[in-house]
Amino acid sequence: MQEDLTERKQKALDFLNSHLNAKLITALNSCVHCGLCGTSCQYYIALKEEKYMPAAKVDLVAGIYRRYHTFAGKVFPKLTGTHELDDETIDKMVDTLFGACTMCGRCVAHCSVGVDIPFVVRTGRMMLQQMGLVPKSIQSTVDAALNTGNNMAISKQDFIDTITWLNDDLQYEVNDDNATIPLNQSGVKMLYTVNPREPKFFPLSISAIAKVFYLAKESWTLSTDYYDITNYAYFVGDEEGARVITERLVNEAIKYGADTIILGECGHGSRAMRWEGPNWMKEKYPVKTITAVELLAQYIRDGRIKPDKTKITDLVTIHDPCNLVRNGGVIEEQRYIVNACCSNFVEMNPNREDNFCCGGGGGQLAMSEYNERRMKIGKIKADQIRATGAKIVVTPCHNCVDQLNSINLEYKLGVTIKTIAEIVADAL
Amino acid sequence: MTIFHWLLIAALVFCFVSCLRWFLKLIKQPKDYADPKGSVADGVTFSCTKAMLPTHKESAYLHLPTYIAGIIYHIGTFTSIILLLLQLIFTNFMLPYTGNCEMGDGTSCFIFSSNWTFVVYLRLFFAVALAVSSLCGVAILIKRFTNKELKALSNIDDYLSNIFVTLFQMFSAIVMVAPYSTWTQPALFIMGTILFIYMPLGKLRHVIYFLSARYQLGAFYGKRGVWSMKNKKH
Ligand code: SF4
Ligand code: SF4
Repeated sequence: MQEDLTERKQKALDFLNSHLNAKLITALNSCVHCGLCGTSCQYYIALKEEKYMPAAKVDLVAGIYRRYHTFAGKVFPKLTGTHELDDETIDKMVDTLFGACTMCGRCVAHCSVGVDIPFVVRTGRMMLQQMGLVPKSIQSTVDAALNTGNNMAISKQDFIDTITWLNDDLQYEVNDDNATIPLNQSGVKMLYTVNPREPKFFPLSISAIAKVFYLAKESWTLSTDYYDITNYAYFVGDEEGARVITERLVNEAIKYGADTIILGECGHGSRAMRWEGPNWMKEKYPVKTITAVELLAQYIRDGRIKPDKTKITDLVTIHDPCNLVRNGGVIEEQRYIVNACCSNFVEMNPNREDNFCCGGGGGQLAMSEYNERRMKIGKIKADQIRATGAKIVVTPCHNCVDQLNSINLEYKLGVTIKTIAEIVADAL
Repeated sequence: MTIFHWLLIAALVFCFVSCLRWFLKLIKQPKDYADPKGSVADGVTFSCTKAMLPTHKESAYLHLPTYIAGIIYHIGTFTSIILLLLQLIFTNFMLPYTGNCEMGDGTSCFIFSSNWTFVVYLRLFFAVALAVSSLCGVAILIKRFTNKELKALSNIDDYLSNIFVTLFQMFSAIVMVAPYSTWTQPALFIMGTILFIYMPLGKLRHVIYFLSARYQLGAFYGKRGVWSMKNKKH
């Protein structure tokens, strides 16, 4: 057993060694320990412990790097505060890299130097993954996605039943017996992807997008085999698993002749698919990708749908999902949509790429081990929402929806959380 | 040339070669296959300009005294390094030109004025400026010793680096005050030698990695269309 662990540690060190490119070398060497990043991180702000400072998270991995890859670290390990990859370091890594970082990236632009902190955190998670030390709850989510095609292990029949029921609902809603939610349809222009939370817990968000597509006369389909936009393998640092999940969606689009994959309302899924996926596959995609938010904004701009903003008069605010906004560049589109669909809109402060994470990112929602911490850091978002006085919070991410629903209850905010598709459908 | 000149030159060569070695490792960027939404060049420009202003970074506007002290300290360091290099090249640097300084007799002058008053004032200016920047270094050091979070984050190298750089600036200031003393310049050269030998070992390496970090940061946000010089909201 001891030998097994030693071998696994070596595997993690070999992994670090093989991934030392210009980007990682930079990130591991540039923190100057100025300590000014604490006030940008929700964990430190909410929990006020040094171990939650972004720099402390970076230092866990950078300390290992210094120990095994620098002259001073090898000869005078104490001088530069290096870390042996021992049990104590590993325990700290699991606790803070998995349990105390949403990989939101808020600290990055505010860091004195510009250290890519979540990139280092992800590297640490990858090393833990090499050692088989991913928290069980999130690992089971990844396993479900790899083994069944979706992270909630929804059976194909259950998915078809849900969509059939939603189909009836759509026909009633748009008063057209020919309206349909296409399944496995070939020769379409677009393949739509969803977060499995939608068929499982929030089917009305599928109804909402179906209504929008119907009115926009879009050519689209859902696949019953691979429709899951989420990619938790990305968060656990399993690059091969992440590649498999990505490749499935690309192949599915090709199978149905679609030239575009619509990335459903899931922040990290969109990021993984749009920005990381091509690098896991080591090639440019043969298909295009567009987020649902960008597509809906385009529909409104082109006049393909005409929302009536007088239908929604309650004060509305937007929560910006970190992976879609700060890490994905979809910033103004949701504002354009909400302004077109609602008569009263107020910004949260701070907002856009400076926004605080909801607290559920980085796989936190899938790690029940850290629920208590997650709810504590959620207070920052709760305070932000309360300060706006809004009645409706719109966010283009189902993970954020889940976390916002939790903090809505916990902090008694009394707001309604909606996705972008839902708010658009309400205004049509 | 004294033994102190040669020691300093050896340290500089060692430091330069080490920095060059790291720098070369940073040139080849990993290939990014994702289609861009924005411009890498625009993002990098933003990263190296506006994004560094105190209006844009919480590490600056939420910690203004530390930020200002840090900026002054870094300006002091670079100024001291430039002054040191000039003293290494020009034997009579910072002495007014009196006409005795002839090329080929083993001495050389960094001739900018034969006006005694001007040179004295200039030296005084550098001395005061470097004294202020050294004090900033001392303040940062005290903060590192006394602030709970910072202390937890710090290792021996953090303290040593701060001490070496601060002493280096102090010696630089002293040379400006007393250029004729027999010990001031040798002391500065010894301090410079220690600093340049130490630099490749610890966090002072960030002189190279800082630039690379700003590039990576700008490239990331630029490509994804998050940062742009044209964005009025920035
Ligand atoms: S990425 Fe987010 S959660 Fe992680 S250290 Fe930075 S600010 Fe904190
Ligand atoms: S602000 Fe940046 S450089 Fe300073 S301690 Fe934090 S991560 Fe390191």
